[in-house]
Amino acid sequence: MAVIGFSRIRPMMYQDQITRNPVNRKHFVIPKGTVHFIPERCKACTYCWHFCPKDMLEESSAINAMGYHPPAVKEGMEDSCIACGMCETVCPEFAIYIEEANDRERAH
Amino acid sequence: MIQGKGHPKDAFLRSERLPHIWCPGCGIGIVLNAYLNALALSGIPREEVVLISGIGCTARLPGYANADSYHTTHGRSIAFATGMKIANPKLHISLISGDGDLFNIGGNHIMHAARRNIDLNVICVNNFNYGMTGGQHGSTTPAGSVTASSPYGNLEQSFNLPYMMKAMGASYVSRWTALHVRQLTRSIAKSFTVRGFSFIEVLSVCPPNFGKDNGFADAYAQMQYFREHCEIDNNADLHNAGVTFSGDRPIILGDFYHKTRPTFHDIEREIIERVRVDR
Ligand code: SF4
Ligand code: SF4
Ligand code: SF4
Repeated sequence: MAVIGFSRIRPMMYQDQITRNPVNRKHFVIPKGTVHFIPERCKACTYCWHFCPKDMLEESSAINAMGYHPPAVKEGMEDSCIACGMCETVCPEFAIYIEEANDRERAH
Repeated sequence: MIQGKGHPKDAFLRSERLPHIWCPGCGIGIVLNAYLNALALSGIPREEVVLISGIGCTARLPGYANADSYHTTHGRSIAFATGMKIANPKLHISLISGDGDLFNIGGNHIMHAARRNIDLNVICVNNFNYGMTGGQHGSTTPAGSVTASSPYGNLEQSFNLPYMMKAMGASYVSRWTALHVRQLTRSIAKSFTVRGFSFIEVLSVCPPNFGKDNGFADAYAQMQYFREHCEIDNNADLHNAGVTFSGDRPIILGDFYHKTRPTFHDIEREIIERVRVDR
């Protein structure tokens, strides 16, 4: 089983800014991901949207059976996910996960 | 929104039991997630993995893992695991329990398991109080902290767990928080390869009890405290690495200590062989 975000070396990024720029940066690819939700498990702890480095998630207005508002992707940011896996790893409820896309964008 | 068909960890979970029992924002679910990630990384076959716990919020964790798991009596998980490891040394035994279970009720057991260097992987989720029973103070509650049973501030000094476990003879000692998920995952994966007693402390959040009583408005506020106040120092002087939430000192994290020495099982085997030859 693939474990997201452990094995690959990437440029260090925080909120779209490259904080450390390796000399061989053009050899790196920025991965792309799609966010999947299992809203019925979410307890709205807020971690996924607070700790996403792309700030692309938010609390939605939907409401689940336990009465919580699960997250959703912000409008217009559907293509922003870099498959870093932070939301997936920090979610205590196994309610969000990422599928990494095969066609990766070249970093310029 | 893309509705997920199944979480990649579902195969490792008793997913029919989700949502689990823990409060919103509780760090224990994150530790379970990190543990399953580490298990996947390590490639250990599931038949060789055993999870054992005692009593408390964290002690519910093995019940959600799709592997052999045992929920034992309060504080006695180490004794249970010691017997199991001696009977079947091939097993990878992980003991995941809370600070109350491992260090208050079970303090005597954990001390001696480290001294004897029993080959166990102990993960102690430290939420700084007795969460399940309503937030009473215990041996890990930082001095001055408010809990249900220390309303004017805890008058006792708390245990510094990595310092204590290193002194007791553990082979591997590290400390992370529920926010340091990647480092935690690596440490758990490493502990699977350590021969001897390994100890990982995970500083966790308990929003409705310890968090609420100590000025953290919500779960995120305590996680944010970890983000702002933790310092990673693998060579830290553990004597000075006690945890405080007073904001004036950093919380020290790291992969503190790893030294191999003969395990209880090594010596036991050696003695058995010697005695057999002598006869
Ligand atoms: S981290 Fe998980 S439980 Fe928390 S808000 Fe996000 S999806 Fe919900
Ligand atoms: S993997 Fe999660 S945390 Fe990382 S960019 Fe994508 S949505 Fe954000
Ligand atoms: S009481 Fe605290 S430790 Fe127990 S489940 Fe709730 S948040 Fe977690």
